[in-house]
Amino acid sequence: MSSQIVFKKKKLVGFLFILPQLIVIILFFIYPSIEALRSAFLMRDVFGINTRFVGFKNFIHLINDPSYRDALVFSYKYAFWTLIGSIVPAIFLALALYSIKVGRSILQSLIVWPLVVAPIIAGVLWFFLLDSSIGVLTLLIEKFFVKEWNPTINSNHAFILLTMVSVWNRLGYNVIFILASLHGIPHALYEASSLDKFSNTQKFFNITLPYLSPTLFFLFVMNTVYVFFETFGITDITTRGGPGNSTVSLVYKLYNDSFSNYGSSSAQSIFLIIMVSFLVFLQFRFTKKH
Amino acid sequence: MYLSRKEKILKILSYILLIATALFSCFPLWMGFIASTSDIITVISGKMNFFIGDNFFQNYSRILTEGITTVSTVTATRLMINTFIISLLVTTGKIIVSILAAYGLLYFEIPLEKFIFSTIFLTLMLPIEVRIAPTYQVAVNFGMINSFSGIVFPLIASATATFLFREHFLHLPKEIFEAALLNAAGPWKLLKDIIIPMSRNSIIALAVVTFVSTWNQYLWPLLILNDLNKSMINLGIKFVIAQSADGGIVNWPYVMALSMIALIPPVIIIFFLQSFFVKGLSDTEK
Repeated sequence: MSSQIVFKKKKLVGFLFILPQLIVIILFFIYPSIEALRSAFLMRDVFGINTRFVGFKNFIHLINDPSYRDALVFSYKYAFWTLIGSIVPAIFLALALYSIKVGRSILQSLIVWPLVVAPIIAGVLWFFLLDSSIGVLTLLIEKFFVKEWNPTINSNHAFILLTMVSVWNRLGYNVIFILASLHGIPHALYEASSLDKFSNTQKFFNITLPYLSPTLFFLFVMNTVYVFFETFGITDITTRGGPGNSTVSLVYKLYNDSFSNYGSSSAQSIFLIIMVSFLVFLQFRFTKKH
Repeated sequence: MYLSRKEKILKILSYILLIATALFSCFPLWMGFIASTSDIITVISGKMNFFIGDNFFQNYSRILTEGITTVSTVTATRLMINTFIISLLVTTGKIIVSILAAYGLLYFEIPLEKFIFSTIFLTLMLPIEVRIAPTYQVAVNFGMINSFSGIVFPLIASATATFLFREHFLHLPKEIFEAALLNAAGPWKLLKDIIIPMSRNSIIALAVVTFVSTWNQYLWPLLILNDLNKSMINLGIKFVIAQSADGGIVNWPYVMALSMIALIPPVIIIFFLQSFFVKGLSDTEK
């Protein structure tokens, strides 16, 4: 790690360079996290003044809390369908973009641009299109799929709405990464396979897919992170966790409990930190392989 | 002969798929734009069609100069300026702080280096969403509520940006350091005159991605900025929608006009600086 040292005997100067970063991290990252860890073992009295040490009680409460379990199940379900909906089509889109020449860059831009849209605005755009009374797409849906479309009272419809938003928001991100990794496949491989009279399907399963697999794994991690941590804005502007509590995600629940339920929200923070750590670990496994 | 025909069909299918997806990507934007040019009665009675309405000028000039709702005097212009300043501060702050940290970590012998390195690494596991209440408490203690500094400071520390620059510096040719040392250049001069100019592309790529992600912030500003006049554009959208939360009617034309304005900077970036944006994404996330 230290093989690059240029300035020996200037320890203090070196430390000064790191100091700004370190101050921000300690104040806004490390200290709050230690605080969360500490208060996960405390409980506040009914007046909200005194706290007392309760051991793992907050964690045990949380595990047995059906509303936490619902949020957990919802988050995984949401992540699963977003992953399927945004990665599988992205593979075909990237292959299609890779295979054409005319109009390629404009089509690419027109397809991928929603990746820069803030989740809350993505939510607003689709909320409007899928509004039960004035939505432009609602008419279409009611003609072909369901008799009455209403995401504000039907939890399945709410779920479809959210998934739609995040797939739309995320598709371009996946296309860009898959396309970049398609460009990395050596041409010689395809030429050799053509000599061996491979069909297109054979080429796809024997060359393309194995080559893409590390990228797909990376996208699996990044999209899970997206659904867990960045979809707060979508939920907050569309379903607000409803109908009932059917679309409350882990972060949405943590946000709601943060200022009302001291001990529980801290325990939720700790569980989430463990989940993020696992995802970061997976991401680094990927980076190391490459 | 057969093969080329098959390839032709594949090519046509590719175009159909791509054009259909482009329509899927653009359709919500187009309908949002139509709504932003219509009057509210047309929109809520479901009579909106697919073409530009008559209220384009009226709606946009109203939210840009008078206020984003009928009762508010906060304008979209104000919100855009706020969002722009905040995004610029975070972008420059993050770049400066990360470059300095990467430089210090790599080229100096510093005490507790491994410990500092792991502390920075640890922040990857601690996105703002997992430590909402205690971080908010820190901001309260510093009197940062309703101030730009409350938004900016927690967002400028970044492990990914620090590692990105560290990685980049590692690949700089060693000869430049030898030459600099022979000329007795100090650490500051080496950084300013040689290393930063040589990192231009990485800096731009990171700047573009950071600008967009700050522009799109929502949860943290929601907590810190309660005063709409000091707020960001995304919170303005939330404000207009929340106005009608208790059974009222959402003022969709204003909501959409605000959304369209909010989308301008990120969309310009993805269309005109796409290569930098993509480089930034793969630099920071991969």
